Amino acid sequence: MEILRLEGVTVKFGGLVAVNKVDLHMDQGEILALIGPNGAGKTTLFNLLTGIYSPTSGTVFYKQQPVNKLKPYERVDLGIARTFQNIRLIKNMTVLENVLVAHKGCNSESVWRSMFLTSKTKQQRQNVVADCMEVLKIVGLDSKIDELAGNLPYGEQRLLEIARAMATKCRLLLLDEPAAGMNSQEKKQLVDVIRNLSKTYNVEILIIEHDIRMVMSIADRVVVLEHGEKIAEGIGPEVQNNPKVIKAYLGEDI
Amino acid sequence: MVNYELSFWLALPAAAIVSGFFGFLLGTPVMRLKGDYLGIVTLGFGEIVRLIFVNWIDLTNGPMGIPAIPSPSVGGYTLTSNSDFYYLVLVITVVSVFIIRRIVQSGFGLNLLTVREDEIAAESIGIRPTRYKLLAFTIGALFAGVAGALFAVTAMFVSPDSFQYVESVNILAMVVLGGTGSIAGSVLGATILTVAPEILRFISDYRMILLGLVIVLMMVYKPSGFWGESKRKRNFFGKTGGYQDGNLTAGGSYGQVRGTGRG
Repeated sequence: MEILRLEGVTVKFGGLVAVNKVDLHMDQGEILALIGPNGAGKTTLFNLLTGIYSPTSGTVFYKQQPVNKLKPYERVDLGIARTFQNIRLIKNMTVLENVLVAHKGCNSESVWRSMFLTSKTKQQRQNVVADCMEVLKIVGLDSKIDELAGNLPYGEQRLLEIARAMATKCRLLLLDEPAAGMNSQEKKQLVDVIRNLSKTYNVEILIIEHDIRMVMSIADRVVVLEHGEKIAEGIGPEVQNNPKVIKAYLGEDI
Repeated sequence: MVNYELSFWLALPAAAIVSGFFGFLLGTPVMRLKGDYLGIVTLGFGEIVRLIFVNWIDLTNGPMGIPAIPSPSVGGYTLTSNSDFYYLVLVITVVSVFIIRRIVQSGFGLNLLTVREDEIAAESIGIRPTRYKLLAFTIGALFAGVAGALFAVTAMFVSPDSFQYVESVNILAMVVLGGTGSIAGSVLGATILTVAPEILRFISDYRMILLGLVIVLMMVYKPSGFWGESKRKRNFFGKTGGYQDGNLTAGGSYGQVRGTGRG
Protein backbone atom coordinates (compact mmCIF):
# COMPACT_ATOMS: atom_id res chain seq x y z
CA MET A 1 0.00 0.00 0.00
CA GLU A 2 1.13 3.51 -0.73
CA ILE A 3 1.61 5.63 2.39
CA LEU A 4 2.69 8.92 0.95
CA ARG A 5 2.56 10.50 -2.49
CA LEU A 6 3.54 13.96 -3.63
CA GLU A 7 2.32 15.14 -7.02
CA GLY A 8 4.05 18.14 -8.60
CA VAL A 9 4.48 19.85 -5.27
CA THR A 10 5.86 23.40 -5.40
CA VAL A 11 6.54 25.77 -2.51
CA LYS A 12 7.39 29.40 -3.24
CA PHE A 13 8.40 32.08 -0.78
CA GLY A 14 7.86 35.25 -2.77
CA GLY A 15 10.18 34.81 -5.75
CA LEU A 16 12.19 31.99 -4.20
CA VAL A 17 11.22 28.52 -5.30
CA ALA A 18 12.15 26.32 -2.35
CA VAL A 19 10.58 23.14 -3.67
CA ASN A 20 9.97 22.78 -7.39
CA LYS A 21 7.49 20.27 -8.85
CA VAL A 22 8.59 17.36 -6.73
CA ASP A 23 7.00 13.96 -7.20
CA LEU A 24 7.61 11.44 -4.50
CA HIS A 25 6.07 8.28 -3.17
CA MET A 26 6.58 6.05 -0.19
CA ASP A 27 5.43 2.47 0.19
CA GLN A 28 4.45 0.52 3.23
CA GLY A 29 7.33 -0.45 5.50
CA GLU A 30 9.83 1.67 3.66
CA ILE A 31 12.71 3.72 5.00
CA LEU A 32 13.25 6.55 2.55
CA ALA A 33 16.21 8.90 2.82
CA LEU A 34 16.13 12.45 1.58
CA ILE A 35 19.56 13.88 0.82
CA GLY A 36 20.93 16.91 -0.89
CA PRO A 37 23.28 19.84 -0.37
CA ASN A 38 22.44 22.60 2.10
CA GLY A 39 19.53 24.73 0.97
CA ALA A 40 18.19 22.05 -1.34
CA GLY A 41 14.71 22.29 0.20
CA LYS A 42 14.73 19.18 2.36
CA THR A 43 13.48 20.80 5.53
CA THR A 44 10.95 22.83 3.54
CA LEU A 45 9.62 19.56 2.23
CA PHE A 46 9.32 18.31 5.82
CA ASN A 47 7.47 21.43 6.90
CA LEU A 48 5.18 20.88 3.98
CA LEU A 49 4.46 17.30 4.96
CA THR A 50 3.74 18.23 8.56
CA GLY A 51 1.55 21.19 7.66
CA ILE A 52 3.69 24.12 8.74
CA TYR A 53 3.67 25.30 5.11
CA SER A 54 1.11 24.51 2.47
CA PRO A 55 2.12 23.94 -1.14
CA THR A 56 1.84 26.77 -3.66
CA SER A 57 0.73 24.13 -6.13
CA GLY A 58 0.55 20.36 -6.25
CA THR A 59 -0.97 17.87 -3.85
CA VAL A 60 0.23 15.79 -0.92
CA PHE A 61 -1.57 12.49 -0.47
CA TYR A 62 -1.35 10.51 2.74
CA LYS A 63 -2.86 7.05 2.43
CA GLN A 64 -4.46 8.19 -0.83
CA GLN A 65 -6.15 11.10 0.91
CA PRO A 66 -5.18 14.71 0.10
CA VAL A 67 -3.89 16.47 3.23
CA ASN A 68 -2.90 19.85 1.78
CA LYS A 69 -5.26 21.86 3.92
CA LEU A 70 -4.81 20.07 7.24
CA LYS A 71 -3.19 21.82 10.19
CA PRO A 72 -0.14 20.24 11.84
CA TYR A 73 -2.14 18.92 14.81
CA GLU A 74 -4.72 17.39 12.47
CA ARG A 75 -1.98 15.57 10.60
CA VAL A 76 -0.70 14.18 13.88
CA ASP A 77 -4.13 12.62 14.40
CA LEU A 78 -3.80 10.95 11.00
CA GLY A 79 -0.46 9.48 12.02
CA ILE A 80 2.25 11.83 10.74
CA ALA A 81 4.86 12.81 13.32
CA ARG A 82 8.25 14.43 13.12
CA THR A 83 11.43 15.47 14.86
CA PHE A 84 13.17 18.78 14.33
CA GLN A 85 16.60 19.67 12.98
CA ASN A 86 17.04 22.15 15.83
CA ILE A 87 15.81 20.14 18.79
CA ARG A 88 12.47 21.33 20.10
CA LEU A 89 12.03 19.52 23.37
CA ILE A 90 10.45 21.26 26.34
CA LYS A 91 13.65 21.72 28.30
CA ASN A 92 12.14 22.26 31.73
CA MET A 93 9.91 19.21 31.52
CA THR A 94 11.20 15.78 32.46
CA VAL A 95 12.05 13.09 29.97
CA LEU A 96 8.86 11.23 30.80
CA GLU A 97 6.69 14.34 30.63
CA ASN A 98 8.03 15.21 27.20
CA VAL A 99 6.84 11.85 25.96
CA LEU A 100 3.58 11.85 27.92
CA VAL A 101 2.45 15.14 26.48
CA ALA A 102 2.61 13.65 23.00
CA HIS A 103 0.36 10.74 23.98
CA LYS A 104 -3.30 11.16 23.07
CA GLY A 105 -4.38 9.76 26.41
CA CYS A 106 -2.51 12.55 28.16
CA ASN A 107 -2.87 15.57 25.90
CA SER A 108 -6.56 15.09 25.28
CA GLU A 109 -7.40 14.83 28.96
CA SER A 110 -10.14 17.36 29.69
CA VAL A 111 -10.17 19.94 32.45
CA TRP A 112 -13.19 18.26 34.03
CA ARG A 113 -11.58 14.89 34.16
CA SER A 114 -8.44 16.26 35.74
CA MET A 115 -10.48 18.24 38.28
CA PHE A 116 -12.47 15.30 39.55
CA LEU A 117 -9.69 12.74 39.13
CA THR A 118 -11.77 9.60 39.45
CA SER A 119 -10.20 6.21 39.90
CA LYS A 120 -11.00 5.58 36.26
CA THR A 121 -8.90 8.59 35.26
CA LYS A 122 -6.11 7.37 37.52
CA GLN A 123 -6.24 3.99 35.85
CA GLN A 124 -6.09 5.62 32.44
CA ARG A 125 -3.08 7.66 33.52
CA GLN A 126 -1.30 4.52 34.62
CA ASN A 127 -1.91 2.97 31.23
CA VAL A 128 -0.61 6.08 29.47
CA VAL A 129 2.54 6.09 31.61
CA ALA A 130 3.08 2.39 30.92
CA ASP A 131 2.68 3.07 27.19
CA CYS A 132 5.19 5.88 27.28
CA MET A 133 7.66 3.86 29.30
CA GLU A 134 7.59 1.31 26.55
CA VAL A 135 8.41 3.94 23.95
CA LEU A 136 11.22 5.25 26.11
CA LYS A 137 12.61 1.75 26.37
CA ILE A 138 12.89 1.53 22.59
CA VAL A 139 15.25 4.50 22.56
CA GLY A 140 16.96 3.41 25.77
CA LEU A 141 15.95 6.36 27.93
CA ASP A 142 13.68 4.49 30.33
CA SER A 143 16.16 4.85 33.18
CA LYS A 144 16.35 8.63 32.90
CA ILE A 145 12.70 9.58 33.14
CA ASP A 146 13.13 11.99 36.06
CA GLU A 147 15.78 14.09 34.40
CA LEU A 148 14.92 17.38 32.79
CA ALA A 149 15.08 17.09 29.03
CA GLY A 150 17.36 20.13 28.85
CA ASN A 151 19.98 18.36 30.98
CA LEU A 152 20.37 15.36 28.69
CA PRO A 153 23.39 15.12 26.41
CA TYR A 154 22.76 16.12 22.83
CA GLY A 155 22.48 12.63 21.38
CA GLU A 156 19.95 11.57 23.98
CA GLN A 157 17.88 14.67 23.34
CA ARG A 158 17.60 13.57 19.72
CA LEU A 159 16.53 10.11 20.81
CA LEU A 160 13.98 11.63 23.16
CA GLU A 161 12.51 13.62 20.28
CA ILE A 162 12.08 10.36 18.40
CA ALA A 163 10.37 8.83 21.45
CA ARG A 164 8.08 11.84 21.67
CA ALA A 165 7.10 11.52 18.04
CA MET A 166 6.49 7.78 18.52
CA ALA A 167 4.21 8.45 21.48
CA THR A 168 1.73 10.09 19.10
CA LYS A 169 1.25 6.54 17.71
CA CYS A 170 2.37 7.74 14.34
CA ARG A 171 2.45 5.67 11.19
CA LEU A 172 4.79 7.91 9.24
CA LEU A 173 7.81 9.24 11.08
CA LEU A 174 9.81 12.14 9.68
CA LEU A 175 13.32 12.48 11.07
CA ASP A 176 15.12 15.74 10.29
CA GLU A 177 18.86 15.10 10.60
CA PRO A 178 18.58 12.83 13.63
CA ALA A 179 22.31 12.07 13.70
CA ALA A 180 23.51 15.67 13.59
CA GLY A 181 26.01 16.26 16.36
CA MET A 182 26.19 12.61 17.36
CA ASN A 183 29.41 10.67 17.83
CA SER A 184 29.92 7.34 16.08
CA GLN A 185 28.79 5.36 19.12
CA GLU A 186 25.54 7.32 19.32
CA LYS A 187 25.03 7.00 15.59
CA LYS A 188 25.28 3.25 15.86
CA GLN A 189 22.62 3.26 18.56
CA LEU A 190 20.44 5.54 16.44
CA VAL A 191 20.66 3.20 13.47
CA ASP A 192 19.53 0.32 15.69
CA VAL A 193 16.61 2.36 16.99
CA ILE A 194 15.50 3.34 13.50
CA ARG A 195 15.74 -0.25 12.24
CA ASN A 196 13.80 -1.45 15.25
CA LEU A 197 11.06 1.11 14.72
CA SER A 198 10.73 0.13 11.12
CA LYS A 199 10.75 -3.64 11.70
CA THR A 200 8.98 -4.06 15.03
CA TYR A 201 6.60 -1.12 15.05
CA ASN A 202 5.77 -0.98 11.35
CA VAL A 203 6.52 2.69 11.04
CA GLU A 204 7.42 4.20 7.69
CA ILE A 205 10.39 6.47 8.07
CA LEU A 206 11.42 9.43 5.97
CA ILE A 207 14.84 10.61 7.02
CA ILE A 208 16.93 13.63 6.14
CA GLU A 209 20.58 12.87 6.77
CA HIS A 210 23.97 14.06 5.66
CA ASP A 211 25.97 11.06 6.83
CA ILE A 212 26.08 9.11 3.58
CA ARG A 213 27.39 5.94 5.19
CA MET A 214 24.48 5.92 7.57
CA VAL A 215 21.99 6.67 4.81
CA MET A 216 23.29 3.82 2.69
CA SER A 217 23.12 1.39 5.59
CA ILE A 218 19.52 1.99 6.59
CA ALA A 219 17.61 3.45 3.66
CA ASP A 220 15.67 1.24 1.29
CA ARG A 221 15.61 4.05 -1.23
CA VAL A 222 17.24 7.45 -1.58
CA VAL A 223 15.86 10.65 -3.07
CA VAL A 224 18.22 13.49 -3.91
CA LEU A 225 17.11 17.11 -3.96
CA GLU A 226 19.00 20.07 -5.34
CA HIS A 227 17.70 23.63 -5.63
CA GLY A 228 14.26 22.33 -4.74
CA GLU A 229 14.20 19.80 -7.56
CA LYS A 230 14.41 16.05 -7.42
CA ILE A 231 17.53 15.14 -9.39
CA ALA A 232 17.80 11.45 -8.61
CA GLU A 233 16.02 8.58 -6.96
CA GLY A 234 16.80 4.94 -6.41
CA ILE A 235 18.63 2.43 -4.25
CA GLY A 236 21.91 3.41 -2.65
CA PRO A 237 24.75 2.57 -5.13
CA GLU A 238 22.63 3.67 -8.08
CA VAL A 239 22.29 7.12 -6.62
CA GLN A 240 25.90 7.28 -5.47
CA ASN A 241 27.13 6.77 -9.02
CA ASN A 242 24.61 9.07 -10.63
CA PRO A 243 26.57 11.85 -12.42
CA LYS A 244 23.96 14.46 -11.51
CA VAL A 245 24.35 13.66 -7.84
CA ILE A 246 28.12 13.79 -8.01
CA LYS A 247 27.85 17.11 -9.76
CA ALA A 248 25.49 18.48 -7.13
CA TYR A 249 27.86 17.59 -4.33
CA LEU A 250 31.27 18.02 -5.90
CA GLY A 251 30.76 20.30 -8.86
CA GLU A 252 31.66 19.64 -12.51
CA ASP A 253 34.88 18.47 -14.06
CA ILE A 254 36.95 21.27 -15.45
CA MET B 1 -27.37 40.41 45.52
CA VAL B 2 -28.44 43.96 46.31
CA ASN B 3 -31.15 44.23 43.71
CA TYR B 4 -32.43 40.70 43.53
CA GLU B 5 -31.73 39.46 47.03
CA LEU B 6 -29.74 36.63 45.59
CA SER B 7 -27.92 34.40 48.05
CA PHE B 8 -24.14 34.80 48.16
CA TRP B 9 -23.77 31.13 47.41
CA LEU B 10 -25.54 31.66 44.10
CA ALA B 11 -23.85 34.98 43.39
CA LEU B 12 -20.39 33.44 43.79
CA PRO B 13 -20.65 30.90 40.96
CA ALA B 14 -22.58 33.46 38.91
CA ALA B 15 -19.66 35.88 39.26
CA ALA B 16 -17.25 33.14 38.26
CA ILE B 17 -19.29 32.20 35.20
CA VAL B 18 -19.83 35.78 34.03
CA SER B 19 -16.12 36.57 34.43
CA GLY B 20 -15.14 33.35 32.72
CA PHE B 21 -17.47 34.20 29.86
CA PHE B 22 -15.94 37.64 29.44
CA GLY B 23 -12.49 36.13 29.67
CA PHE B 24 -13.47 33.82 26.83
CA LEU B 25 -14.94 36.67 24.79
CA LEU B 26 -11.87 38.83 25.26
CA GLY B 27 -9.55 35.91 24.73
CA THR B 28 -10.98 34.90 21.36
CA PRO B 29 -9.60 37.85 19.35
CA VAL B 30 -6.66 38.51 21.66
CA MET B 31 -5.08 35.06 21.27
CA ARG B 32 -3.49 36.25 18.07
CA LEU B 33 -1.26 38.51 20.11
CA LYS B 34 1.88 37.53 21.93
CA GLY B 35 3.88 38.62 24.93
CA ASP B 36 3.83 42.31 25.77
CA TYR B 37 1.01 43.11 23.38
CA LEU B 38 -1.26 40.59 25.06
CA GLY B 39 -0.49 42.20 28.40
CA ILE B 40 -1.27 45.68 27.08
CA VAL B 41 -4.63 44.54 25.75
CA THR B 42 -5.64 42.95 29.05
CA LEU B 43 -4.63 46.05 31.00
CA GLY B 44 -6.51 48.17 28.46
CA PHE B 45 -9.57 46.00 28.85
CA GLY B 46 -9.41 46.52 32.61
CA GLU B 47 -9.51 50.27 32.08
CA ILE B 48 -12.41 49.99 29.63
CA VAL B 49 -14.40 47.98 32.16
CA ARG B 50 -13.69 50.54 34.87
CA LEU B 51 -14.85 53.40 32.63
CA ILE B 52 -18.02 51.50 31.76
CA PHE B 53 -18.69 51.03 35.47
CA VAL B 54 -18.22 54.74 36.05
CA ASN B 55 -20.60 55.74 33.28
CA TRP B 56 -23.26 53.03 33.28
CA ILE B 57 -25.07 54.59 36.17
CA ASP B 58 -28.29 52.56 35.83
CA LEU B 59 -26.45 49.36 36.55
CA THR B 60 -23.54 50.34 38.74
CA ASN B 61 -24.65 53.57 40.34
CA GLY B 62 -21.62 55.15 38.70
CA PRO B 63 -18.82 56.59 40.82
CA MET B 64 -21.04 56.38 43.91
CA GLY B 65 -20.60 52.64 43.89
CA ILE B 66 -22.92 49.96 45.21
CA PRO B 67 -23.32 50.30 48.97
CA ALA B 68 -24.72 47.96 51.59
CA ILE B 69 -23.91 44.64 50.00
CA PRO B 70 -25.47 42.07 52.35
CA SER B 71 -23.19 39.63 54.13
CA PRO B 72 -23.31 35.96 53.28
CA SER B 73 -24.79 33.56 55.75
CA VAL B 74 -23.96 29.96 56.46
CA GLY B 75 -26.86 27.85 57.71
CA GLY B 76 -28.68 30.80 59.23
CA TYR B 77 -25.57 32.36 60.75
CA THR B 78 -24.72 35.66 59.10
CA LEU B 79 -21.03 36.44 58.78
CA THR B 80 -20.24 39.72 60.49
CA SER B 81 -16.87 39.90 62.18
CA ASN B 82 -13.50 40.07 60.50
CA SER B 83 -12.65 36.57 61.62
CA ASP B 84 -15.87 35.25 60.06
CA PHE B 85 -14.74 36.63 56.74
CA TYR B 86 -11.25 35.35 57.32
CA TYR B 87 -12.57 31.81 57.51
CA LEU B 88 -14.82 32.34 54.49
CA VAL B 89 -11.90 33.53 52.39
CA LEU B 90 -9.64 30.82 53.78
CA VAL B 91 -12.05 28.04 52.87
CA ILE B 92 -12.61 29.35 49.37
CA THR B 93 -8.87 29.88 48.86
CA VAL B 94 -8.09 26.34 49.95
CA VAL B 95 -10.77 24.96 47.65
CA SER B 96 -9.49 27.10 44.76
CA VAL B 97 -5.89 26.04 45.32
CA PHE B 98 -7.00 22.42 45.40
CA ILE B 99 -8.91 22.76 42.13
CA ILE B 100 -6.13 24.68 40.38
CA ARG B 101 -3.61 22.12 41.55
CA ARG B 102 -5.68 19.35 40.07
CA ILE B 103 -5.97 21.29 36.82
CA VAL B 104 -2.25 22.02 36.65
CA GLN B 105 -1.09 18.53 37.57
CA SER B 106 -2.79 16.83 34.68
CA GLY B 107 -2.48 16.16 31.01
CA PHE B 108 -4.15 19.50 30.49
CA GLY B 109 -1.47 21.16 32.62
CA LEU B 110 1.31 19.52 30.62
CA ASN B 111 -0.32 20.79 27.43
CA LEU B 112 -0.32 24.32 28.81
CA LEU B 113 3.36 24.06 29.69
CA THR B 114 4.18 22.79 26.23
CA VAL B 115 2.19 25.50 24.47
CA ARG B 116 3.86 28.18 26.55
CA GLU B 117 7.35 26.88 25.82
CA ASP B 118 7.06 26.05 22.14
CA GLU B 119 3.94 26.30 20.02
CA ILE B 120 5.48 24.64 16.99
CA ALA B 121 6.54 21.65 19.05
CA ALA B 122 3.07 21.54 20.59
CA GLU B 123 1.42 21.44 17.18
CA SER B 124 3.83 18.75 16.05
CA ILE B 125 2.49 16.41 18.72
CA GLY B 126 -1.18 17.13 18.20
CA ILE B 127 -1.90 19.99 20.58
CA ARG B 128 -3.94 23.00 19.42
CA PRO B 129 -2.18 26.04 20.86
CA THR B 130 -5.05 28.53 20.51
CA ARG B 131 -7.48 26.22 22.23
CA TYR B 132 -5.29 25.84 25.30
CA LYS B 133 -4.40 29.52 25.46
CA LEU B 134 -8.07 30.38 25.38
CA LEU B 135 -8.91 27.82 28.06
CA ALA B 136 -6.15 29.16 30.30
CA PHE B 137 -7.48 32.69 29.81
CA THR B 138 -11.02 31.61 30.64
CA ILE B 139 -10.05 29.65 33.73
CA GLY B 140 -7.99 32.60 34.95
CA ALA B 141 -10.95 34.95 34.50
CA LEU B 142 -13.21 32.47 36.27
CA PHE B 143 -11.13 32.53 39.43
CA ALA B 144 -10.80 36.30 39.19
CA GLY B 145 -14.60 36.37 39.29
CA VAL B 146 -14.58 34.34 42.50
CA ALA B 147 -12.07 36.78 43.99
CA GLY B 148 -14.28 39.71 42.94
CA ALA B 149 -17.33 38.22 44.63
CA LEU B 150 -15.34 37.68 47.83
CA PHE B 151 -14.05 41.23 47.69
CA ALA B 152 -17.57 42.65 47.30
CA VAL B 153 -19.03 40.89 50.34
CA THR B 154 -15.98 41.53 52.49
CA ALA B 155 -15.82 45.25 51.73
CA MET B 156 -19.65 45.45 51.60
CA PHE B 157 -19.19 48.18 49.04
CA VAL B 158 -17.86 48.26 45.51
CA SER B 159 -17.22 51.23 43.31
CA PRO B 160 -15.20 51.67 40.13
CA ASP B 161 -12.46 53.09 42.33
CA SER B 162 -11.87 49.60 43.70
CA PHE B 163 -10.72 48.43 40.28
CA GLN B 164 -8.13 50.91 39.25
CA TYR B 165 -5.16 50.20 37.06
CA VAL B 166 -2.98 50.02 40.17
CA GLU B 167 -4.86 46.91 41.30
CA SER B 168 -3.98 45.06 38.09
CA VAL B 169 -0.35 46.04 38.55
CA ASN B 170 -0.47 44.95 42.17
CA ILE B 171 -1.81 41.51 41.30
CA LEU B 172 0.77 41.12 38.56
CA ALA B 173 3.49 42.10 41.03
CA MET B 174 2.28 39.42 43.45
CA VAL B 175 2.72 36.75 40.81
CA VAL B 176 6.11 38.03 39.65
CA LEU B 177 7.44 38.36 43.18
CA GLY B 178 6.22 34.95 44.29
CA GLY B 179 7.20 33.18 41.12
CA THR B 180 5.35 32.59 37.87
CA GLY B 181 4.15 29.13 37.06
CA SER B 182 3.75 28.14 40.68
CA ILE B 183 0.72 28.09 42.94
CA ALA B 184 2.77 28.30 46.13
CA GLY B 185 4.64 31.23 44.62
CA SER B 186 1.44 33.15 43.93
CA VAL B 187 0.21 32.60 47.47
CA LEU B 188 3.57 33.69 48.83
CA GLY B 189 3.67 36.78 46.62
CA ALA B 190 0.13 37.77 47.59
CA THR B 191 0.95 37.37 51.27
CA ILE B 192 4.11 39.46 51.01
CA LEU B 193 2.51 42.26 49.04
CA THR B 194 -0.48 42.39 51.38
CA VAL B 195 1.48 42.28 54.61
CA ALA B 196 4.46 44.41 53.59
CA PRO B 197 2.63 47.73 53.19
CA GLU B 198 1.14 47.25 56.67
CA ILE B 199 4.51 46.55 58.27
CA LEU B 200 6.08 49.44 56.39
CA ARG B 201 3.42 51.84 57.57
CA PHE B 202 5.97 53.83 59.64
CA ILE B 203 7.66 54.93 56.45
CA SER B 204 4.33 55.27 54.72
CA ASP B 205 5.46 57.93 52.27
CA TYR B 206 8.23 55.79 50.87
CA ARG B 207 6.85 52.29 51.06
CA MET B 208 5.61 52.21 47.46
CA ILE B 209 9.04 53.31 46.26
CA LEU B 210 10.60 50.58 48.35
CA LEU B 211 8.24 47.95 46.93
CA GLY B 212 8.95 49.18 43.42
CA LEU B 213 12.65 48.82 44.10
CA VAL B 214 12.21 45.29 45.45
CA ILE B 215 10.24 44.26 42.37
CA VAL B 216 12.83 45.70 39.99
CA LEU B 217 15.61 43.95 41.90
CA MET B 218 13.67 40.69 41.76
CA MET B 219 13.23 41.04 38.01
CA VAL B 220 16.94 41.58 37.56
CA TYR B 221 18.42 39.07 40.01
CA LYS B 222 15.78 36.40 40.48
CA PRO B 223 13.29 36.57 37.63
CA SER B 224 11.83 33.22 38.66
CA GLY B 225 10.54 34.74 41.91
CA PHE B 226 10.83 33.44 45.45
CA TRP B 227 9.10 30.16 44.72
CA GLY B 228 9.19 29.74 40.98
CA GLU B 229 8.40 27.01 38.58
CA SER B 230 11.71 25.23 39.03
CA LYS B 231 10.32 23.92 42.30
CA ARG B 232 7.31 22.40 40.63
CA LYS B 233 6.45 18.78 41.17
CA ARG B 234 7.89 16.65 38.41
CA ASN B 235 6.39 13.62 36.78
CA PHE B 236 3.12 14.24 38.59
CA PHE B 237 1.13 12.60 35.87
CA GLY B 238 2.31 9.17 36.86
CA LYS B 239 2.34 9.95 40.56
CA THR B 240 -1.24 11.17 40.61
CA GLY B 241 -2.00 8.01 38.70
CA GLY B 242 -1.57 6.55 42.15
CA TYR B 243 1.03 3.85 41.80
CA GLN B 244 3.87 3.23 44.18
CA ASP B 245 7.43 2.25 43.46
CA GLY B 246 7.66 -1.22 42.06
CA ASN B 247 3.92 -1.73 41.94
CA LEU B 248 3.61 -1.76 38.23
CA THR B 249 6.45 -4.01 37.30
CA ALA B 250 4.73 -5.85 34.48
CA GLY B 251 7.22 -4.46 31.99
CA GLY B 252 10.10 -4.70 34.42
CA SER B 253 11.10 -1.08 34.29
CA TYR B 254 8.09 0.74 35.62
CA GLY B 255 9.35 0.27 39.12
CA GLN B 256 11.89 2.93 38.34
CA VAL B 257 9.15 5.52 38.04
CA ARG B 258 9.58 7.85 40.92
CA GLY B 259 9.20 11.58 41.16
CA THR B 260 11.87 13.91 42.35
CA GLY B 261 9.03 16.23 43.21
CA ARG B 262 9.66 18.76 45.90
CA GLY B 263 6.34 20.43 46.23
